Amino acid sequence: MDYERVRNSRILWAMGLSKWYGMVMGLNNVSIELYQGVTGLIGPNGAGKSTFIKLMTGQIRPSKGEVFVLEQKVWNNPQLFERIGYCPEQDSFYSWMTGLEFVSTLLRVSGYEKMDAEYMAEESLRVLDMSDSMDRKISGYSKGMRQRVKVAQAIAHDPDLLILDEPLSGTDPVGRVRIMNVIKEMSRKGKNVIISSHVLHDVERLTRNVVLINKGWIIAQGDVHAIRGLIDNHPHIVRVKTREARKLAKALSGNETVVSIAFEPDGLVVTTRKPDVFYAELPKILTENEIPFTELTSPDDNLDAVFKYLVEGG
Amino acid sequence: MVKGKKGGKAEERMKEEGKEEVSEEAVGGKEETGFVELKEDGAAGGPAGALVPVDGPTGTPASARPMPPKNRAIMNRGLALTWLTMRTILFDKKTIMVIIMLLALLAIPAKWLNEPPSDKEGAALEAFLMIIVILYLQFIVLYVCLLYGSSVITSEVEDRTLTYLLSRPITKLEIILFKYIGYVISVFLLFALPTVLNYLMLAPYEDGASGISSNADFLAFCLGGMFMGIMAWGAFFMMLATMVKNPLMPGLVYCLFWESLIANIGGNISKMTLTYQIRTFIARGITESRGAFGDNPWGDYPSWQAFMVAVVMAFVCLFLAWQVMKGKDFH
Repeated sequence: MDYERVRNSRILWAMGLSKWYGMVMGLNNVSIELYQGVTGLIGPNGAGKSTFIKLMTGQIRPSKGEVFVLEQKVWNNPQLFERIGYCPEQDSFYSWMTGLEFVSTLLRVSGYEKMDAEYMAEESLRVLDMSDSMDRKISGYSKGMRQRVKVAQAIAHDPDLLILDEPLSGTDPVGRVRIMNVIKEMSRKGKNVIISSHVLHDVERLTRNVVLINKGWIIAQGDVHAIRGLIDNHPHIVRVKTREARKLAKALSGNETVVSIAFEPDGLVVTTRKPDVFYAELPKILTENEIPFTELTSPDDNLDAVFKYLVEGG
Repeated sequence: MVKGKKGGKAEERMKEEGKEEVSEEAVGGKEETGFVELKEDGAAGGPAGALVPVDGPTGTPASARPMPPKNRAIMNRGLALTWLTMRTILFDKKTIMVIIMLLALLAIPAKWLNEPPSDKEGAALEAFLMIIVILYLQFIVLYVCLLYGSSVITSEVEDRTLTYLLSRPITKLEIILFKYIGYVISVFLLFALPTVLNYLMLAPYEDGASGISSNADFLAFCLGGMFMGIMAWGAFFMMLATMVKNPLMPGLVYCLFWESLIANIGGNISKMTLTYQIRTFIARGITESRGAFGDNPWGDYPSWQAFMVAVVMAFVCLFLAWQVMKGKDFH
């Protein structure tokens, strides 16, 4: 009886899953089970997150082992995608299309009627606050808008499982909130989400359930709070794109959470030992000083340090 | 408080609530939109200090519309993918170049009409055949098929848009077939118009305006031959593109060696080329339609058989392309 319950709540399981690209190992002998809810896949760039996600979405074929999603084999099983929404990492589009055309065309490719596809596309773009710009060509979109369109095409058919590969990468603060809200709302509706990121704080806001992956191996799986302490021991780097770098540096200079500030051609790189506090205070600092900014990113150097700590013990 | 767009109910509500506004310039111009505020208590919408929206849309889309019945869904997929391929091909920069070239080549029939090299009966129709068979089919159509046929799938791989198709409930066979149909329609349209224009320029030279209708078999079989080439060569180059990373090189070798050199050396080996089959289809087709059999150098079997060779070639190539694609990673 318990076995049945566990099986019914399982959204993904992999057994001995490996992938090599020639001599390069993408994923090594991964055996894992993921259950209902939101799961964060955390790891630095090149850790194997995207390979794992491509395997679980049938984009690539396992070199060894098997992966099942929603209790169905993935490879060459397109019907499964009636229940899955996938937002890939790559910034690729039919860029001559408008946002609305892009999402509705992909829904048509799924088999929906033209009218239904357009309605569903508009709805999903509206949820991501893209209604005003959905009739503009994608080639004119900012990175944050393109990310939102990618998420819109993934959620438009109301899937049971949403798989997002680095959806918050390069997003503007508002886009970030919109995407996070979609994930939270899907979770509230009892849907399942697998989200990959190299920024722990992004995932931490969405779920406590994380899988740590590095160099093709699954290092740990479980509650995010177990590794929070480790993160705080390592400096955290935040990159702020702004035209007013000097003004921002001045505003941050007295902030006790900031360890160092470095100038870049298009902004600042700030190192902090208290990322939570810093992230909380930054919007206030920006608005109070009327500093324009276009992008907030966090390189994964800090995560590398955590992984080094986990794998090597320091 | 951050504001990034003007007007709308959201802004009005902001003003009613007496919240502070900052100009667009102050938050980075028009490119980012929406309202965000710093939430201090963390009571709802995330941990303390999280950015939470105070306006604008939230949630997930309303429940999706039901998927239509299977046959209807396949038809919808077919129409969408065929249109997508046609749109990609017809609005491609390469296509503009091809159209300019084809328009420029209309100078050939124009020059012929200006200074007819021969007054004998049927000379204009002979010139039309030479233009279509030698210039168009053996040269331009073949290389345009290589260009487009090989890029139908590879462009999706290189642009990394294939990911979107592979994450939809559509089989790889459907992807190949519908993209192929889109390719055939687009490239045929591209060549049908200049072929008709060539005909309309030259055919009246024979019998005046009535020459257009009385010699329509020339046009019909030339268009048929063009369709054969586009259909079979396209499938062949599409198959090649699924097998090798850079299909242009082996494709060029095939064009230059097989369809140009071997097709013209004569003997039985020439019959194995598609160029030979197309010439047979056109020449035999025209003579058959005029009741004159067996007096042309091209082909010792009926035109429909030549056409079937192209159909079988296309079918086999598409089948092989599907088999390769079924087991292939496009990472």
